[in-house]
Amino acid sequence: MTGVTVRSGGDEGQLAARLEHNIHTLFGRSLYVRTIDTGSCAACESEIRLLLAPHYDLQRLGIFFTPAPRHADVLMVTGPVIRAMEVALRKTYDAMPDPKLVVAVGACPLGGVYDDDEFAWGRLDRVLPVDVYIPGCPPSPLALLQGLLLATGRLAVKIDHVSFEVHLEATK
Amino acid sequence: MTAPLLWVAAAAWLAAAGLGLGATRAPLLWAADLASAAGGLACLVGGVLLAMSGRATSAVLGRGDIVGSLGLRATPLAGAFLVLLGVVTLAIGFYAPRYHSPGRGTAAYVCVYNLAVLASLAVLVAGNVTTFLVAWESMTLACTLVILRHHRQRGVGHGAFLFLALGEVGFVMVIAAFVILATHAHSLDLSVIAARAGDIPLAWRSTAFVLALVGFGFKAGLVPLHIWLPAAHPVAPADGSAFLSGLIIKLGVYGIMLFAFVLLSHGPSWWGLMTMAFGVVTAVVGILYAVVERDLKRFLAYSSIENVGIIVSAVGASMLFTSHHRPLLGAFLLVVALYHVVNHGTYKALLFLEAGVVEHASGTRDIDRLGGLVHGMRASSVIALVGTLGIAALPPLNGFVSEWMLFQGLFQGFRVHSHVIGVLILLGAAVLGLTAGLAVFAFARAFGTAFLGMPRSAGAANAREKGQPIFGPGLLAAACVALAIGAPAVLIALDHVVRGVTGVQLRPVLLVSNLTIIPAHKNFSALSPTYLAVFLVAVSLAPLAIYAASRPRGATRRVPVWDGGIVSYKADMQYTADTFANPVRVMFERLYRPDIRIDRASDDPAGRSGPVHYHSKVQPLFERYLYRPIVRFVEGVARRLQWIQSGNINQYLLYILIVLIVVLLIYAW
Repeated sequence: MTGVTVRSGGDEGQLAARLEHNIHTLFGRSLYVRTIDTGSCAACESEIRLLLAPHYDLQRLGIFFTPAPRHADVLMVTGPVIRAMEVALRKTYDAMPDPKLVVAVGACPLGGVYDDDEFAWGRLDRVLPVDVYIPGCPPSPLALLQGLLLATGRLAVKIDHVSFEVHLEATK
Repeated sequence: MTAPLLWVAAAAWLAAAGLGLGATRAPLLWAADLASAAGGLACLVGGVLLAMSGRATSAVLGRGDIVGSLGLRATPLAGAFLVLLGVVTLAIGFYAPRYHSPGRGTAAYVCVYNLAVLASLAVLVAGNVTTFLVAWESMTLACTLVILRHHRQRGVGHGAFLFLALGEVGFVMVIAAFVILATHAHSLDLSVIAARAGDIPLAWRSTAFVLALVGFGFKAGLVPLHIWLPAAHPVAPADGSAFLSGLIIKLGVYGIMLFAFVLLSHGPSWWGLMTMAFGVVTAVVGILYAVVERDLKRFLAYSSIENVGIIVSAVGASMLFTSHHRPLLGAFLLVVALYHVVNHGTYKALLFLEAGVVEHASGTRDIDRLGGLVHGMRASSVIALVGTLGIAALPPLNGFVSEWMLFQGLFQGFRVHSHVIGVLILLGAAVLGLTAGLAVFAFARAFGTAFLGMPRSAGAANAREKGQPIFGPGLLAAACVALAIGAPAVLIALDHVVRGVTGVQLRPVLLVSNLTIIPAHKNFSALSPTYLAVFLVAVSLAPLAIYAASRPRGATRRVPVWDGGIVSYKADMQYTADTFANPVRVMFERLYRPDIRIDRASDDPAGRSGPVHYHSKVQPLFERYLYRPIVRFVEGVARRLQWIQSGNINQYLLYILIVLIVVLLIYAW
């Protein structure tokens, strides 16, 4: 289940089918996403919101948004990671259970807009370990969908790396 | 066995009063208070034995023809109150030496406090009218001195004056009631009056009852006679407040019970109706004022008013059922009233003692300056929580048992043949339901704001438990738990008391099996406080057990509780006691008539260029619209009569001569 390759520009149906397959096998139809806005202009948010519209219908794939980081598997970060949001961002990340993924959404958290700014970190990976970068200003819903697909592939890697042996030995 | 124990208690308190005079040094303070506690223990055991015996014991001392003899008579009804007196003084005895520091003021205080205790004992065991009245007045005077402990501080004189003034007005009414009965029964002996009361014309009996209800109502704190409570309680020392609220106001209830069930039993239906109406109004007004009160001790004083209201409602309902030929229900509600008397005395004394601990540890009584006390004061917080759960009438503690039984009793209103009375009883139950709900709200507010959350002032942040009294309040907390879990035993004892008063035996109906109570009526409801307590503890332990058994043991990462990503919490972000109570304040605005003042730094409607201060003050309705006109009227009359008082001693001597001549003429004629 490791190393899922993503062909860019793949058509929507194919992408969705593959995503659905990964989510089903890994999470039993349930992948929860928490979004956090670290100073975004809200363009990325409006694109993320479109994922729930009938055209993309994210929930049919078993992906849901949640406000509770305790329930989340994926953290979607928008905005240039302004320093005022750093504590909230870290707290949210810490509150999520392992294994977890971080997705940087849009040009800002990738360092494309405020890379050298005294009020912002400029790039998300200066603060948190990022698993998937989704470029675009803002990225289209389809790009977001593709990012999530990539994320679930990465998640499989992460699951392989979480040592369950420790746990099993202790409970024996 | 009872009489010797009560003598021991009296001797111990007298000794404590004597030792107290030397309490300028710590060992003597301890000795005095431990003697007081020993007296409490003797009184407690004596009271239990007296209640269980169900018989009165009497003693007559001396024979004076002018003032009458010192007649003592310990009745089972007084036994219930003696138990309470014992419990409260026992706890205060252990509390006081840590609360007070040795000194001249303390020495005087310990002395008058023990005299007040002794006078209360005398009230409860008084066997004739003279003894009762002398004891009652001594109790009032000694309690006034108790309130005056810190007489130089602001508000103390006012509180003590209100206590004394209203106490005296009530005392005059009580004297009038007793005089009416004594002249018609041709005896000063209470048992003789009780035996001959049936022959007294109804109009005189009713007059005496109303006078007694109002007169004792001043001491009990019935609305609108209650205004001394919120004035005197905050300024008295904590243990003095505990004694006032735990016991003294219960003596008012004792007086009402004495007239309603012993001296003037079998009155007409409207006596009960009036008493119950008084009680219900007192309960709801008391708790409504408590909900918005910020001063911890004044809050507790208002809550005392509420609880007295509940007790007096039970007394009134008991009278109603008895006068409507439902003696079983009448006796049951009297049991409930006595149960609530003991319960309230226990947890209210506890809460006042804890309020004193909080005040000493943090330096403030303002709930909105407290907070987070649980961190520095663990044992005290647990003790206060027990008292809070008790007074909020939450299971499994004792307040729940008595209040639940009260409602079960009131719900039997439909068994009265008169529909009007039945509906009125149920209406009373509905209002008391509102009271009970508001009580939970009020105590969640008081405990939550003061003990939980974050400290709102430096004093609250630095509050520590070291050196604060724990054993005394802890004793009362244990008593609260015992009164709940041991409910069947309490009911057996109270059944003996009530059988001694009304002649009705409840036990075969009330306690079918050993631990289950069937209140009021069979096939209506049943409860076992003992099993309920065990069940609730087990239920709260079950999740812990499940967690302990299934907790993942490896690969665990501990992170802080999810707080929404807030950078740091500040004490100002918390609910204050005022905001917590605001919905109630808005809903009952007609009662509170708050004076709201908003101070802005600028005229900008949004207040953007400076802080905006919001002040809200509840109007003292009864003081303003009831007492002030009376005071004004009395002052006006006094001014008209001023010319009599010239200040010339010769003129006064003339008055005395004239009075003497008139008296002699009347006597000769």
